[in-house]
Amino acid sequence: MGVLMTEPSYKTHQVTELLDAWSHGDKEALDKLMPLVYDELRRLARQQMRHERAGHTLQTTALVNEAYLRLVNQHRAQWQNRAQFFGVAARVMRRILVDHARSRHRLKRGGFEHKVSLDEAAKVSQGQATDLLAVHEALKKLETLNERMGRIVELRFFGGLSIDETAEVMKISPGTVMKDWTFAKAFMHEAISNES
Amino acid sequence: MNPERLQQIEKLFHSALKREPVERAAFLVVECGDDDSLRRAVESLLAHHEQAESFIESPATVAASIFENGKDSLLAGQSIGHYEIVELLGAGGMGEVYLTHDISLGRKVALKLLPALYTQDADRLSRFEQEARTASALSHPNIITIYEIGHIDGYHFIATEYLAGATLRAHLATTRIKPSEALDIAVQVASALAAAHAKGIVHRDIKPDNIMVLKNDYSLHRENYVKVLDFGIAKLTEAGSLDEEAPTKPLINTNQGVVLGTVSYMSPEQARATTVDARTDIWSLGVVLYEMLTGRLPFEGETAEDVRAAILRDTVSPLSSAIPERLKWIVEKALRKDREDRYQTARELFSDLREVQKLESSSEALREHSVAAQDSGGESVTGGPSAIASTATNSTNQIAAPQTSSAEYIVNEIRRHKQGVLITAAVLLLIIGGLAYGLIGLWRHQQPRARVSSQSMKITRLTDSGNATAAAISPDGNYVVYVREDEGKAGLWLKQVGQATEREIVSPTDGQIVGPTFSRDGSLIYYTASPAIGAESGVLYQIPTLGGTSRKVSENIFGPVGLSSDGKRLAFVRTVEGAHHVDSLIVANVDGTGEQTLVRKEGPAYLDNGPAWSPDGKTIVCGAAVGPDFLFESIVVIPVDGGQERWMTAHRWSHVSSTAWLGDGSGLMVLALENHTSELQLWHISFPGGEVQRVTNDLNGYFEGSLSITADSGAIVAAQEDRSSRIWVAPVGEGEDRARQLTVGKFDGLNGVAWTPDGKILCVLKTGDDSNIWLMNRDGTERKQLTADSAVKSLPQMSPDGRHIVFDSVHVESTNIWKMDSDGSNQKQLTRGAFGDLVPRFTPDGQWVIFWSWTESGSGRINKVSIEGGDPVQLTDYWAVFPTISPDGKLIAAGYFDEQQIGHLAIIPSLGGRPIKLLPLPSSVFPGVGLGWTPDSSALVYVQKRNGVSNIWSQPISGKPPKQLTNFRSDVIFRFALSQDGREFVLARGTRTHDVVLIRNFR
Repeated sequence: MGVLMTEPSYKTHQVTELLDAWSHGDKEALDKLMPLVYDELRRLARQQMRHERAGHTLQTTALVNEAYLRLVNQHRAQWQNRAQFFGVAARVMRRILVDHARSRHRLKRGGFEHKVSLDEAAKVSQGQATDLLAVHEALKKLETLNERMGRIVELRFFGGLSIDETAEVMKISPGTVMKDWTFAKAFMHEAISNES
Repeated sequence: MNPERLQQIEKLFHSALKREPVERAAFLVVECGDDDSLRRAVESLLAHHEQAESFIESPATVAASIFENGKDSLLAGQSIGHYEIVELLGAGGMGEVYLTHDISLGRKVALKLLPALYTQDADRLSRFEQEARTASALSHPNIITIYEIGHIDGYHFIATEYLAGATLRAHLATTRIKPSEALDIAVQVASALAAAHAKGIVHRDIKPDNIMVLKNDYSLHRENYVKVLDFGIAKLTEAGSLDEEAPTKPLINTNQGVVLGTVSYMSPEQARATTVDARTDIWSLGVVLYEMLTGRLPFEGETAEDVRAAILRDTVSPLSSAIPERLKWIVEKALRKDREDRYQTARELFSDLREVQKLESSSEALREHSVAAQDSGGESVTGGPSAIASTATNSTNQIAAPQTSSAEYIVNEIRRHKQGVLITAAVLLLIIGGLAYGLIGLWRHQQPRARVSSQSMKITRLTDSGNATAAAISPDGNYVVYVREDEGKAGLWLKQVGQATEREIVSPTDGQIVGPTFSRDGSLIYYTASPAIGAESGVLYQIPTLGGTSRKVSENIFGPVGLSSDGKRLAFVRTVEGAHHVDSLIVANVDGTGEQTLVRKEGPAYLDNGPAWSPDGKTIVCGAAVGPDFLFESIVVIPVDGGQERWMTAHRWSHVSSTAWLGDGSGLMVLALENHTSELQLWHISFPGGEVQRVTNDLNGYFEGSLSITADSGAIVAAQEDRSSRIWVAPVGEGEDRARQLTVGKFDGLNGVAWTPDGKILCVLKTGDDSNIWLMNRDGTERKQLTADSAVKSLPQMSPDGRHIVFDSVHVESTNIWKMDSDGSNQKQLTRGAFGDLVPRFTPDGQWVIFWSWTESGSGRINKVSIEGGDPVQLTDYWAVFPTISPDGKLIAAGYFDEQQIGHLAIIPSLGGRPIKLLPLPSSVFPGVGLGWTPDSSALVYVQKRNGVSNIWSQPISGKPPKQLTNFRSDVIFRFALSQDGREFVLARGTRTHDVVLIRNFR
């Protein structure tokens, strides 16, 4: 990862403590934690995306790991913290990516000038990637019906965790994760296909 | 659905999955008993399970990186193996395409980098590579030559011959293709397919995006040279087994428009996801041929599923009788649903097409037909098709060169970033890019791109103030109310049709007015006013038509309101912004009471063009985004008494503006922007059929939000614009009488004028559809064209040593700074900002180029880049735009926004940092037109527009009052530059007006 933290910064103390607090049941800690993790992940994600090239994958797991190393005081970190952190990170990644997608259509939803330029028209045909917003919306639907499945999709898709990692974070068996994942994928695929 | 139901479904889903596919149906019938909806739900999920194999398996950031790919591209000069990147040609879902220089062989090569999304699956990759290698063995004049397939440094790439041209998709978007040309293109594609099929290679994805046409000029009856791209690429998007005959499983792609584009060419066997063979290509070519001949797709639908269903079920509507019988029969045979009935080989299809071609070219029947179709434009002024954009994505070798100027780019950026009030004003002067005034005429049912009505549309201009932005006509057709917008203020004027007099009914106030609307009895006018240009919400007022005072009706209205036909109810959109964005479609009584929400949607959904109530009062239509990312727009139909919202038409535009119902409820008139064009045009959509037809092809376009129609549907009013600009030279201190006009074109210098160090004039002239950089003497003689390509170039500047010229230029996704040698050779991209780098200026030492960039969050930053290239250096970390460096090189002047978003002129140290001085920026001053310095670096020079007339002023940086430097009494200045001796201006000067027009005979 190439990250050398000489002195744990104020921020790392804060994050570590908040993770602790959160894992001990302090719900408010999550609210405080989110923006810190958000900022760091966003920064790292941008940095990585900039160096990202076709043929390479932006490794979410690596990103989250790096954020973790940067943000959590290693001396005090425990596995429990790390799992919690991955949970927060997946949610935060979701927000980053959804924001990113949103900002794109904010651009499109113009105010009142009357022209849409041709370069805009060119963009039109380029948005061929899997639509994050659509996934996000479908996931919201799934979450209301089955929280666990929603969480699994969030960790897998937005957090980049493997089946095993997801199982560890959620403290359930990999078999259950796999089963939920299979169903959730079909569910979300259907939800997105039906959305017009 | 509720959680319990989901649990029930899930249980059955897993139980069914454990069974063999053939047993599942029976199993579910037994398990579900009477509960049909349960059975259907599980069946549907099982079907989706089959398709969802790779769905969301790659983490989201991979998808995001695809978004990013177009932006963080490889830089010129970087190398991949022996390929040196020259420039990015295009980017799309299937990867980025670069023009590269093959160092080892010294030739131009197009290099397609495959996106990570598709290259992670080793199996899939090797299947693709195998197929692509086979394809690369194909040697055929109509198939792009593949030089190499490989991977170096982690990049998976395909290197092909470099072709300069446009895809058939781009042509279809902008050109009417004559039957003879359609035939010619189809013959060549069939020939390519025959060769490929003979080697056992099926293309699988024949569509206009994958067909390159190597000649831009369709008018000259020259043979088009066609190349088919991307053989084997389709393989890459398939999930599934190694078996060649495996079912195609299209990658899930939720972008509606894109899906439609792709699905439309699918064969029934592809739609059914069964095995695919060469006959699938024959079908797809049949679809392409049909589209070329008619301008529309044979199978259409609102969603991808609908299109699929139509492909499987519907019979194609017959081709026009003007198409030769034999050709009709060929299309029909290519589009037979059962592939056993179809052409069995591409060779057969090719032979039949060739046969028709020979017959027809001898009889010239085709040509006559096409000429007749083109020449029946009625009384209207004729003109070419509007701005041609040779842009397409997803194709291997194509230079995307959207015809837009940086100024237009700015316009649009500002439209998007509503804080840009300062520049918005400037923008009104900056708009560029239209073509000559003209009207092609009326497009008929059935064949919108192939036929022109003999009926002539009549357009009458009603106003001459030149600043009308939105208009409405009273139901009886006697009155027109319109908005005049001037210098940041908007007022409402009333005019009696056929009378010269008009009067102000709402006096000009700061902000904007949208959607003036007459009440059904014509006695009242409704309008939405908001304090700031580009604001999301405004206040709805009503005012008596024949005078009186405005009364507030309601608040937080997004765009215009629609009135019910009985005149008792209003419909409007309300939008709540922020993290939790909600759009609601609301109906209320005309006095604003009794609000009732018809639809509530999370996230931005509806457009600000105002809902329109059908004459029978049962439905409301409203512009809406297609999919959550606003890539396309269309129109939704909302039943007033509840019921499912649905799309009115399967057609998608890049922008939908105003809508107005025809009085008999048979359809809508709409102002909308077709993809790849730059002007809003008038369209007709039938109701409930949803059939779409373009009514105007006016090269000047219409103004946003300005459409209204009389009760009897006899007349429409809209605001239309007209621009013209010529290059002038004027001595400082003088006016018209001492100014010399150098050019007589229509859009001369709109994209920039500048002095060279030796006193010549550098400018952008528009010839045909292209904007190119020219050099001329100060008296307009010895004109020399320096560039000759289709990329839109703006604001050229010559370096102090006379060696280089920099300019901004639109390529693919964004505007960036480019440089070239002063003779026009050696064009190179200098910057790679993803959101737009604009307005380059040399520092006096010629070492740096100062410019400004849009940021991701939508503000502007000043940067500089070395003329030798390299990473830009940011000079401001706050919003500052249109930088100009002083002749002594010490200071930069720029437009600047303070914390309250109030605009100033800022003086900034040339090395960057906070402003050291702020000077006032009157609302009548337009920094976007150009900021300059006096030669002694003591004052700024800018254009100020008062009462519709532009003059140039200087503002001493000491803060002393400004002084007028020119004395023009008419016209506006689009661009200017002050000569180095401070004695003369070169100007792009002319008129830009938008006035209300009355359109009759439009049906």
